[in-house]
Amino acid sequence: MKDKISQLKEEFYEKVKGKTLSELKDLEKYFLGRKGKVAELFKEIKSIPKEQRKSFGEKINELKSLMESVLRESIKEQENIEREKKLLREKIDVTVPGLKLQQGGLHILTKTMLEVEKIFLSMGFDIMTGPEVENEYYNFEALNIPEFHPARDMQDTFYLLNEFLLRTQTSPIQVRTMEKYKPPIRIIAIGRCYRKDPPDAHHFPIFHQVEGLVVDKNVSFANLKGTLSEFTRRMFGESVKVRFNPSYFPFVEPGAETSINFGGWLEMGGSGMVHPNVLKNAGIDPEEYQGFAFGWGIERIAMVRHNIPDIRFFYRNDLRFLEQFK
Amino acid sequence: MLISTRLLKETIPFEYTSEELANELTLLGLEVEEVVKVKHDFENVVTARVENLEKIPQSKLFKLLADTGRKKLQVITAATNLHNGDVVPLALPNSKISGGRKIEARFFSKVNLRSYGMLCSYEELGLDKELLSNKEREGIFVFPEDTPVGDPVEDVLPIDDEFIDLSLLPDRADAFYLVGIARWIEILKAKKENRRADFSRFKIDTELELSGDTPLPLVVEAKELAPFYSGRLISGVKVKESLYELRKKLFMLRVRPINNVVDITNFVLKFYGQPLHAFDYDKIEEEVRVRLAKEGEKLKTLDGVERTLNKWNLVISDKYKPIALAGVMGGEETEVSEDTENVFLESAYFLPSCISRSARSLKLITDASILFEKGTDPLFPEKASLFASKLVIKEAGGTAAKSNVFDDVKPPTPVTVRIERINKILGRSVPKDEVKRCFDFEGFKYQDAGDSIKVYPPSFRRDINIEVDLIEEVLRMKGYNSFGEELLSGKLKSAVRTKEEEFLWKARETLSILGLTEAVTVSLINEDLVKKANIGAKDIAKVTNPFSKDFEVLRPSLFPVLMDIAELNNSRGVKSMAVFELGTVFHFSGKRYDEETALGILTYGDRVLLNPFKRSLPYDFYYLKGLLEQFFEKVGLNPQFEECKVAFLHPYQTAEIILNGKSVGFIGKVRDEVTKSFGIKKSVFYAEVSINRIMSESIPEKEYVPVSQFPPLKMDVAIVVDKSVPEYKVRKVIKDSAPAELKEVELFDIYTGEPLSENEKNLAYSLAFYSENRTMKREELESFIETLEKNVKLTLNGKLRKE
Repeated sequence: MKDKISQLKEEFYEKVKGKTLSELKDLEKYFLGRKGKVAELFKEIKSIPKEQRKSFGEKINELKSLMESVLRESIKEQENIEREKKLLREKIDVTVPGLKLQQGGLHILTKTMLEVEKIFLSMGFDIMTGPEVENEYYNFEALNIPEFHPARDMQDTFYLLNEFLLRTQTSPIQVRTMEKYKPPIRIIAIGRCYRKDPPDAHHFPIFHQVEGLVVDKNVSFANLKGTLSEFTRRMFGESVKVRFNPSYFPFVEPGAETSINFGGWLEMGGSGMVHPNVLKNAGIDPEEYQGFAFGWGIERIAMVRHNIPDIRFFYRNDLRFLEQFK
Repeated sequence: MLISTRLLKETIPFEYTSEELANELTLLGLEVEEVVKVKHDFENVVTARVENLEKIPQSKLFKLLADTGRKKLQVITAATNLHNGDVVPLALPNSKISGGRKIEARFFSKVNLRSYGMLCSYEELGLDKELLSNKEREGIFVFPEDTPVGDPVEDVLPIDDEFIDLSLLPDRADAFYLVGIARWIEILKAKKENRRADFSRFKIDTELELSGDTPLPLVVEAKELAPFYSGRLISGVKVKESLYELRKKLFMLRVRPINNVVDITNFVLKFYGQPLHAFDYDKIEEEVRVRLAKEGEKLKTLDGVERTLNKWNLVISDKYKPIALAGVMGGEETEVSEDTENVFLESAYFLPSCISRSARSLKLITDASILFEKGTDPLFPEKASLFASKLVIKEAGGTAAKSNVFDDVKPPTPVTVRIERINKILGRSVPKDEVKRCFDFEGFKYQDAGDSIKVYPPSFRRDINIEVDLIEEVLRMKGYNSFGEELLSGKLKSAVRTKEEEFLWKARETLSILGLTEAVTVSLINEDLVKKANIGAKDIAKVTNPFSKDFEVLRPSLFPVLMDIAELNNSRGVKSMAVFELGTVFHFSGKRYDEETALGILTYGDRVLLNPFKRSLPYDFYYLKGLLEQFFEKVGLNPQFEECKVAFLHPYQTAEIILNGKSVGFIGKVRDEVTKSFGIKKSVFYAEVSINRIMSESIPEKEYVPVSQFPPLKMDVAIVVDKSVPEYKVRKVIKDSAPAELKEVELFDIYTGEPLSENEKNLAYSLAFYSENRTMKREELESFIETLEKNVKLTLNGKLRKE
């Protein structure tokens, strides 16, 4: 009996060497299964004297647990090896480009508008809108530009029927706002404007303006400068230099042109103190109230900010251009 | 407007470089476009006198001696306009003419003679043809006889110059004439030297002996429009080419010489800012009358165009007919020519708005009309007339008579400025003495009136009329940048966008998250594009005065413009495109123009970029529809889709988008023939939604709905119906038959074919039931299945296929 146990132990060590996972599973069955070699040994216990049974029983159990632990270890080891093999088979080339979806994004012009709005919203300006189809009164007359005034040359106008026109500036929104709301007024309006400028790198018959209007009892030229400088710094960075010089727009007096400097002066847009006639036209007493207004081009801002050389690029909508700013 | 710094320096000396001057003028409020520098590009070309000129027999050439003072050089030339004694430009041997050609001594083998240099035409000197008289353009350029010989030509001709290019501001005549700019230089100097500006150096010479009267009677009918009119006879003139000195000045003023009389009027306009007009006195019949034109009257102007006049035109007429368009352009009939012996010289002040109207009504803008409409000096015309007459006599001989004058010019009214008002507008206090100093710098006369100052602006400053105009002058003199800045103060309220703007930003954000790229396209388009897109709209709005066909009609839809950019991108090899635009579209009702904001979405190609993984997701109807549904869900709306027809879309792949029973847009596959006309071979899908219409529906605030904490009960159902039954009806039957716990109905299969009959389809749904308070059991759905089976049969004439 003793011999049988040690024989089996030897056989086990012999067989378990260098086996694969499935072979190990077979061995498990062969030695430890219900009809396996160890079970056979247990059966044989009946045939030996009673007093030896206990010690043989212990020995077989010892062998059984030895086999179990060796098999467990071997199986574990083989499982690891198999897993590694499987993983290796699953190896991919991580340098192959990923799978990409068409991505969405905003147009650089609206992104610029959004930024402009954010800056002015944070300074307490409401956002207004107005129609693109305007009439002579709001686009010109109320703004101190009577018919045949030479200032109309600066804004070559697209006319529609029945004395309607396409607004040449966002300034009509000034007038509409003053008619509707009493001072204090602090608004900006961003919108599309039209002028008969044949397209070239710097002109396009369609463009966008941001218009600003502030009317209150003590709004001064210093406030105009403060507001526009603050806007400029936030839009173009703290280091930008800002300059104001006299200019002429019929609806402001004094009038100013603002330029910024990154190495050369670039004109950004017009501004000034609201002309008394414009206030009067809107039913506001210029002795009691005063204000400032400004009108800057959105395209101009975007061109300067992103170094875009040609205004036509905005309207061409070449995806390869748009994607640069998404 | 190009202002010559060379002539400017002759008028008032200054130290600035052209760039510095440009910068100073900018800070004064004159709009400088750029500095233009012109430099001669010839070398070693000198003045020489023609001597011993003779034709070489049996040839077309001439031989002459060119006297340069030091040497007399033999020169051979083919030019025919020379005379002995002429001073001409000689390109010496080893010289260079304009354009870079080298000139050497050259042997003319035909005549067996050597030429030691070449005589030059204006082209060989690089002179601008537009600034030369007819005579100067012919053959060899000839200098006046008294020009010293042997001098480099660049010292004799005013070629080398730097010009300040000024934009024309509507209220500023001063940027349009030389003295106007020179005065600002004087103001700059006064500021620097802290003194009053002194304009006396620009005073015009009016000393002239007059003899006799001007016989033609003057009648000014339009007294308000022509507050000053002076007409003077200058008799016995000889009209010819102007003397060299005047032509030289005109060259720098960039005016082409015509003849001495006309040149003088142009000179006074460009130099002193007073437009003048010279008529042939003998062609005026019986009287000179200043009046408004009669509607339909005709006048042939100097440019040879016969013009039909209107009620806005102020004219100068004689007894029978208009002879000039006052302040704009003279008439051809009374033009001064070489035959003119007697000149009628007009010098006037016309009302700016009158000339502006008159010129603009005929779309005829001239140097004179530009000056008049911006406002000339009303006290200057008579002085200008005397000065010009003196020049005429010098250039053309003759005698000047006393002028006939109509003078109804009101004395200029003073403008008062309150010191306190200056402070209030500028936001900084400027002491009274400093304000006065500002007015001194500009040479204004003023009186101290205690709290205010009464200012008499010079008569040439037509832009100062009210108090704020003077405040601007204070600011101009102090410098716009010398003042501090201050942020706004006052009561703050929260700043807001309009409801529509807020919605649009949210929409933009949502659409870009859904994978669409935003486009911003043109809203004025070519009518052909509308036709090409097969829009079929009738109420298209059109501009009445387009400058190009490309910007003529207002887009009635975003479809044509988005197709246009699809064409562009496709042609440039962009394989897939999915764009949206939120933009204005326009309609014209015959009376009114309506504009509304529309959302347009256009796709072609594939949602997944080309890849080696055999994965693709082409944009198609359902993709676009799903995207729209997600968009609507995000903004809190739940529209229906129903079959419809749109001209440019596939008749059986198009749906109308319906919200609360109202149509708000459409979606569909673009017809192949339309797609093809834009050069695109892929399928294109398009949807358009009216933002105004969806905004007019109330969008409910989102409210909390309890989320079940229990696992869902899931089941699949399959329903067989006739192919013509729209899916949404099947879905409705399921929902209507189900208990409230049914939360999800997802269609996962549509099957046709065996074993179904030809007209049948099988729709398979995955349903999920959630309860708030328990785990649901299958048995609970038994009655639902029964109801569903019944309803499918009853409502859809279909059958429920059980699992």
